Amino acid sequence: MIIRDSVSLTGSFDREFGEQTFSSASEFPFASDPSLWGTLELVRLNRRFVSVVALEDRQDLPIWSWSSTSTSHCRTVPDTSRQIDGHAAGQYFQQPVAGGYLASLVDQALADVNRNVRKAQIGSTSSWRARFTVKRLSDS
Amino acid sequence: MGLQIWIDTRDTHNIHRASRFCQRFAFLPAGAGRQFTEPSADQMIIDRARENAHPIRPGQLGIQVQNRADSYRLNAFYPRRA
Repeated sequence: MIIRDSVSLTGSFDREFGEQTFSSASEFPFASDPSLWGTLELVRLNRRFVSVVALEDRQDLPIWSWSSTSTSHCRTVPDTSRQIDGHAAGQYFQQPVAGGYLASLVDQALADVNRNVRKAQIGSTSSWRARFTVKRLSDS
Repeated sequence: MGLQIWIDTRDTHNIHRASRFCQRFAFLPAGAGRQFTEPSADQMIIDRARENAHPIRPGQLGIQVQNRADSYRLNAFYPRRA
């Protein structure tokens, strides 16, 4: 794989929806400043499932979803019993995964992140994890 | 168009310059192949980085795209070893 110049692809631009960024928008130099990046927690429960826990200010609004190689059902289970970093977990998603390590964000979830999310977390147990924290633009 | 992912494995949130522990990937639903219609997954450099991340070998990044009438669904695969 060739590492190539990134000038032509700075930002995440959609021809229909415009720029959709995960945390900081184009007012911030996120392309070069890692301190502006969100923190993401991804945890693989086992070989077949990935769980997603999203924390948000508005618990009725799912902000995060998870796509897998399987196009079969995706069920959403409220999991308000969990406490992560002192916040109640808003939504709990579980979806079959055929294997591998994947990160495919649902487009409409991205549009909600900047508006509603202060802190979010994906994850739960075992083998690998990454965490994400999303700041409000006004907090930056 | 597409999805870009920046990854910083240093677990620090106050360093403003990328290092070899920072990686950037682009997953595009089209743009590869002779007709530029095949999906593309590639590693990219990070602006102003002190040093570039270890290159990902060809084929280690995977991508699947399902084109729909008004949208697409993209699955991206990133190797844990990277």
